[in-house]
Amino acid sequence: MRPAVLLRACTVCAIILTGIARVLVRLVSVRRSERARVVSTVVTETLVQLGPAFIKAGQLLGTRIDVLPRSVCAALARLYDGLPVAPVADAMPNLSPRLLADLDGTPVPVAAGSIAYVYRARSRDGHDWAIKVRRPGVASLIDHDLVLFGAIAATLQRLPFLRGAPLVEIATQLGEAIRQQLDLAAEADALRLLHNNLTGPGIRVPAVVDAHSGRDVLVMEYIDGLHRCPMEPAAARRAALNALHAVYRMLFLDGFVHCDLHPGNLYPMPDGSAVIVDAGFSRQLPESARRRFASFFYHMSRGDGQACADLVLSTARPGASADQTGFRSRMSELVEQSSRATVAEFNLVEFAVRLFDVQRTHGYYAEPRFVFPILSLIVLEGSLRQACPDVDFQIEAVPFVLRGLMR
Amino acid sequence: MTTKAAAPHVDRSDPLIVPDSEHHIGMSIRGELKLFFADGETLNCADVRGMSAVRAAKEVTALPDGRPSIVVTRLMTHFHSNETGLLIQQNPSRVNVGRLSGVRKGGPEALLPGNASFDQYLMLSLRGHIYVNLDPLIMAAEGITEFPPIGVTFLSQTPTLFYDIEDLDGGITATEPKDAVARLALASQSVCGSHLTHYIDMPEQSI
Repeated sequence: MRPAVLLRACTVCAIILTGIARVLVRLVSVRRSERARVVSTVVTETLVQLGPAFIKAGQLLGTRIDVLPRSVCAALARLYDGLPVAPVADAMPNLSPRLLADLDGTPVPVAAGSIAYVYRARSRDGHDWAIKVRRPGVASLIDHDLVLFGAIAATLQRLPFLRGAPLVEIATQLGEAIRQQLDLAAEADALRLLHNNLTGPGIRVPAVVDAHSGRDVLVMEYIDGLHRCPMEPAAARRAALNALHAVYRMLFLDGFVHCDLHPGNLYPMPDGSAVIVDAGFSRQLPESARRRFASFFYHMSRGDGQACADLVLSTARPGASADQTGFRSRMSELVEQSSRATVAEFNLVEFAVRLFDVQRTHGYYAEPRFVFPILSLIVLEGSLRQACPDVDFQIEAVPFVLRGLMR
Repeated sequence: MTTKAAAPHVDRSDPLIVPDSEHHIGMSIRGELKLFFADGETLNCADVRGMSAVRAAKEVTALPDGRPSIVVTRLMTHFHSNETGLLIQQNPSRVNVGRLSGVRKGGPEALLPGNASFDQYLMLSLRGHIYVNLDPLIMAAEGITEFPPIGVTFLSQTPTLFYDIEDLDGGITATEPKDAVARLALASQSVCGSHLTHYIDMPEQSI
């Protein structure tokens, strides 16, 4: 391990230990009923201190209202849009003279994400722009953290109960995805694709201002009203359904998937539409993977566990102890239990965990390419459970799955 | 020609009339039936109606749990939609069979009340093309107390892909898509099924 990474590992340990100490100290002085809130607040603050890669992990956890207490989710929600914004002076070195010349006035800080800051500015021809600028020093910090994540994944993968789970591959691919977010030119490409694929009634994706976008700065259309406020339940429901349909379109039709639809990147609007921003963590599924994914859902909706087993077997890698018969039998059982469940009954995380468990216990190694699409649905599932708990995931998927198979 | 049929005046709740019977019935689609095309078009087929014929086998077999079961063969399926021009027929090259199974243990006398399920292979004619399904379209009904089960709706909640026979190696006789891509799909996003509306009397007669 490089000295810089070792130093970072020590820093991470120190921050975590400090966080634990803060929790212990504060727990002494608060009432029992306050303890969960105190712990989650300190955890959130610690994640912010740990930096971008850890913030990403916290954002993902914060969507899981079904597995974490609401107070913890509420505290982690601050990671979506409660991060401190940076003064415009921090961004100035990255703004080209040509961009500055095109602005009418000074940019105003409006938001901060784990990787970048966002400023609002008006162009000389009267358009409102959002200017996204990378946080200073974020690239090297993420590099070090990803090495740490890889080492942690390799260690965990040696544990008996995690043997077979492709943790190292997932960590590697997640690392690639996080690194991809550092390249704002790549994000601009992703945003253009999503804008073209998804924009329509019910979904808005900001348009890229090509003339001023590059590797370090992304300039895009500014969409007003991106803040969470109490909404009419009917509008919240329509917005959640629009978002679900957009995800299905990405997964089954386009194969180009926004894998990071946490509440900081997906905004329900009072008119029932949904706005998708921050395309930094997007992935193009290979055509064969998109088709297999659609086929899996098609056969799952038909309750055909054997066909689902065939699809998984066609991509999974058999280990030395692979047991195809046992796998088929367990897979049929799983699909039968899961098919036609409403969103209230169907737990995607549980399904994914059981799917990986069935593979692992029968000697197969999952294909990591399928982890990203599942991730995008898992991230959305938390929001969907709140807005429309009665919606049937599988019924809503039908038109998209079918059209995906007809391509 | 002689046609055996369970005449309307017989006791249709008597399970013993099921073996070796044959019936023709009128049907209409209940619920929301949709055709999804590859190009994004969705066709609502609200006015689909037609008729079908079913023959029950002579022999009643016993399921492993002791319930009686009998094979039922779909002889004819013919639906049409005036609004869309859709014509749904049975694929003559595939066997369209199903089963009626009693819910209680016993012999033929326990066939009713029962549950029925059909695997259907169809031909859809639309806009100058003929499409066939390779995965069965499964129609099922539970708690049948009369035979034929007039007033009962056979539900299908599974989406089914259809292929243009021009794309299939073997045309209507194909059983595998090989490289063919499905051109349309039949599905419902709500409860949908074919409702048995009335019994068609075909009295036994000799010509």
